[in-house]
Amino acid sequence: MLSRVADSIYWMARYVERAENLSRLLLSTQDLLLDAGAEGVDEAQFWQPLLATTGDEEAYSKLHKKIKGKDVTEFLAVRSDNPNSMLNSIRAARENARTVRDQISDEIWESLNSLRLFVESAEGKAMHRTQSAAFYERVLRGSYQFQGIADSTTPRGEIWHFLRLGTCLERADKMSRLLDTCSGLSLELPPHAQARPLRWAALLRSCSAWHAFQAHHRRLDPCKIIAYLLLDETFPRSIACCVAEAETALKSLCADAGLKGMPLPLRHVGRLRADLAYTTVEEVLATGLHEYIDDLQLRLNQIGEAIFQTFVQHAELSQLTDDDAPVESVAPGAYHAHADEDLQVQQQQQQQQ
Amino acid sequence: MRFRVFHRTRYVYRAAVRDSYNEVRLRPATDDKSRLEFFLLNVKPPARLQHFRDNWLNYVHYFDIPEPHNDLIIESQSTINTTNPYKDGKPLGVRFESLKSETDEMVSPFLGTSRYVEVTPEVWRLGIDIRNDSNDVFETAEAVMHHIFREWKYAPSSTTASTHMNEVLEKKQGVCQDFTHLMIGICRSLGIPARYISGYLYNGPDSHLRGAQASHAWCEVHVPGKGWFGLDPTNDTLADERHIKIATGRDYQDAAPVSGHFDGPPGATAALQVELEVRRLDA
Amino acid sequence: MSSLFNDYQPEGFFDEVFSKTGKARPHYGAMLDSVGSLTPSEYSARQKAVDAAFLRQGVTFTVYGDDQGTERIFPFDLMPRIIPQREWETIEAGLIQRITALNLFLNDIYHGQKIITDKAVPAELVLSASHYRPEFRGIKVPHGIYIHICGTDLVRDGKGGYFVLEDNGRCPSGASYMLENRNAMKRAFPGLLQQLPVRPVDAYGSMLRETLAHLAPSGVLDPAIVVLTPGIYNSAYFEHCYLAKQMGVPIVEGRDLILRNDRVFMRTTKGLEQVHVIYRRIDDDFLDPQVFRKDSLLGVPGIINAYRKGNVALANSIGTGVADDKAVYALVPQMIKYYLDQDPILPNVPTHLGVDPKECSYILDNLDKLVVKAVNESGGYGMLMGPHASKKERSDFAELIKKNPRNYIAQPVLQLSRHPVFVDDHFEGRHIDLRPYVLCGDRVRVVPGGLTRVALKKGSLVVNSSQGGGSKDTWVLWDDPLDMPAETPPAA
Repeated sequence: MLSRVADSIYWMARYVERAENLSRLLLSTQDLLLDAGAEGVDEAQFWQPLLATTGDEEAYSKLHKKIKGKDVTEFLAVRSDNPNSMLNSIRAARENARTVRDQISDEIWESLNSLRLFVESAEGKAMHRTQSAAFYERVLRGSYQFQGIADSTTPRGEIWHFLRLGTCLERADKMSRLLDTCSGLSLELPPHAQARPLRWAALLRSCSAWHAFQAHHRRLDPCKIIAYLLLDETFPRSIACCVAEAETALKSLCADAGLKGMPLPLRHVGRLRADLAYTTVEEVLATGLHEYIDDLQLRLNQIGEAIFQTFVQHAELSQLTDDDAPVESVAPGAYHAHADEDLQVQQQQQQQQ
Repeated sequence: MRFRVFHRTRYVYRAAVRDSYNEVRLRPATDDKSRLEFFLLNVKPPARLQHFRDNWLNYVHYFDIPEPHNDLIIESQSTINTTNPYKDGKPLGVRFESLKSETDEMVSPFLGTSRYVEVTPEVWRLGIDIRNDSNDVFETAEAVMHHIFREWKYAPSSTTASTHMNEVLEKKQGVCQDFTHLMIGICRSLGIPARYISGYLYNGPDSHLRGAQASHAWCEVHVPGKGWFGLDPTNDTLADERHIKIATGRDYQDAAPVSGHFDGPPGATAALQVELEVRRLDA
Repeated sequence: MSSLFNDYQPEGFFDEVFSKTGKARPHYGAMLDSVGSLTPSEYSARQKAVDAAFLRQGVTFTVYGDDQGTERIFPFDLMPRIIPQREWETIEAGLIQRITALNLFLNDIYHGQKIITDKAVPAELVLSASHYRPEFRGIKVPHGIYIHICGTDLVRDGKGGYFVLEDNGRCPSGASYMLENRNAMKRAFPGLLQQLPVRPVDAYGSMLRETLAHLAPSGVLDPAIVVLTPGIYNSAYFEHCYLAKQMGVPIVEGRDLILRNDRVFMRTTKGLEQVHVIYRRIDDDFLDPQVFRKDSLLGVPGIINAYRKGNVALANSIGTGVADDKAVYALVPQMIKYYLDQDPILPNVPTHLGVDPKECSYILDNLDKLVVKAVNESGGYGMLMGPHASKKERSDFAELIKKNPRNYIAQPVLQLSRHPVFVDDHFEGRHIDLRPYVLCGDRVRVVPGGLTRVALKKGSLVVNSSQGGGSKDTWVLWDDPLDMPAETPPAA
């Protein structure tokens, strides 16, 4: 498979997952706000962590002075000038799908194309204004549909493994950011059993873990919640579970490519998986949740970079170049919202008679 | 009748050949009996085509390919409208005596010996037998045709493109080219001007099966005061509107569809592939 | 006669469906019976179903201008254009003749230039064409073929005669719409396609593949073929992708390719794989930053060297644009005469060359009657429709022509033939053209059909998709269904 195709498939999956996570996050925050409404809290307190999770605080503050629910949701969901918005993620997923249309099933392409048509449509925009929850649910459904179709139409070869890699690494990354927003909260249980620790409950909801967690644990013990989302090897959105699946996919890819020894991405992912397997939540808390997650994100990025180097850039290949004069060329890679404008202009200039 | 003809000849060489020069006679003839609507000729490797008209007024396209090449493709397409030359009936009633007065230069080359046809005592004796005591030119020509069709065996691959009439006479078998040469020889020995026609024959709706047939040949005899009339000894039929004329000549030598030479190792031609399709358009 | 056509008027134009007296032409009989049995709302329901399917499947092209580049479906009119066998045979023969002559011309221009020495065409006109690539002279191309894929535009005049409007010998597009339109028709009118002997077009993918495979360097039995696209922002990206999928070959961008020892490789997840034939859909100028435009981000540095050495083949070849130049177009009949020793089967539209001082002043004096075109533009850009233009537009254009007469040609305004097109709830006549696709490999093949483009605006003569044009499926009817030729002839 072409390197660029691999990269595009990887990013297609990441962007779908990104949009899905964002929808869930927005939904659960809205719920939280409704629950908390009675307590009469400052709205900004609820929305600020959201901006922190997506890392867009600075971009947001350029547009708006105050943190207001309406502005934040609009910014995160449908603004086209926010490169990380749900809208742009779906666009990017679809554009990447478009560059690899010949490789993926028509059904995958049509599902992403329909989703994009929906979020760009007047109907979609109106829905977001008047019943945003329905809008988010529609995006969630779109993502589930994508996953389901991908699962049932993609042969279990390279394409599948790159799809899974993208999904798992994005999921692990978003989960780690989500956990990080809770790192400042108290780990103490509320004094009486009836009182619900709203934030922790919202955390579980925002990653669809509420029911799964409750099946194992009676009380919403924050330590147990952290352990569940970080280290549990059975829950499909936990970081340990995502990393384990990424390792499986990478093993197949490295074997297919005939890479000998221990290729870099495999080394990184294997080490992380082992660490997560042998770490206890007490150790995490002793290090400090925030510090632990900082390190975790660094390592996830390292894995992503190693994948790019190995399968897309061919780090080992470019070292072999013996061409006399180095010629500047554009490295292959996936579509991103901040695509190279010169490239775009030149692509348009090509006469098709 | 209106026909579309597609004719493609491909030579495959064992090793690259060069400096190839070729002449092709593939443009259907136009006269008062048939009208050419269009004609398209192209060759590969691409080469510039030019043409001249030879002694017998055939269109001869020629081209040369100096650079080395491994195969040569000559492709022609034409659409042609034909009418039946016999629509006013057979040109009967012309007597042998009127042949004597014919010394015009349009006719005299078709009376003697040529490359593949020889006027010999053997062929003359055969001619006399066939003529019996008829004194009608066209009737005699028809009798020659019937005789060849009856007595000679149609045997593909029994002869080659350069088989002489004398060999055909002796072996009593051959293909259309051979039958035509023989008929020309017999007619000439009797003093009837006869010429060789190369062309295509449409023989029914199944005839357009690709590669199922090759070029055809038949004979034309000159009936004084009436003109040239075609007879097809291979099929024992008058050459009517199903016969599409391409080139005329004293014999195959003059009317060969493709002739040429090239520089290459001996036995360089590995294969010759012909695709021919004659499709009737107005059925 | 059905109600849908009750008020239909040919309005004095040559109409594809109805004769001057309003009688339906025989080859449209079955079609009219079938469409006629529908009510306007049934018809428009089928039309809407097709439009929705195109949008969902992303059968679109990109219009530039706003920030994102809007994707639109290429408007599609359900009622097919029908060409009877006899007309098609002339078209086919004419196209084969034309591409043969054009390829001989290109081979000559890039080698001995005999046609110029023999003064059969004026040297200055040919050598001044902006797409002529002198640096490319003397390079041998596989089998001497330069244009492998050609999309010639044909129009019919007020009397119904066919004319060649232009030869698109660089990167002709639209074949994917031809294929998709047929698929749409199969869904919308399945019965009709079964009932009529319509020649299929779906072999295009395999024919294209064969044509490309024929170019492979000698000794390569199973060549690796790729489609080289500028990328997703190109207006025809959908088509690039579609054709790659039809042929079962990868679609690549310049950045996916890399040179090693004058051979072209693509970067894959498993390392480098050699590429033998490239169906490129990017301009000459952008193909190789080391040879042509230095700032090209789309090309592959060194690819021209690999091409020169015969390690990779390009389709179409480089420098074919010289044959596309609208001034050189005017010389094609002379080329046919010179190289093939034949008369053109399909005539040119009479063309006045700006470069000729006498003709130039004729053009300037008759701007209100002529269509003036810039010689290197396509897609309906850079032209003046004299009779429809304002005085100001005409005088502005006159200045342009005076400044650079070589750059302009003029043609009389042809009253293009018209075809019924469904508008709201009834049919109206609209002007159309025809783009058949010609493939030149070990033999020349013309796909029996093509893209019929429609000027959707009432009275408009501009059919280009970028200028509000739409399309129709094109049916080549075979008189006798049992007699239909095989689309892919068996190997000899």
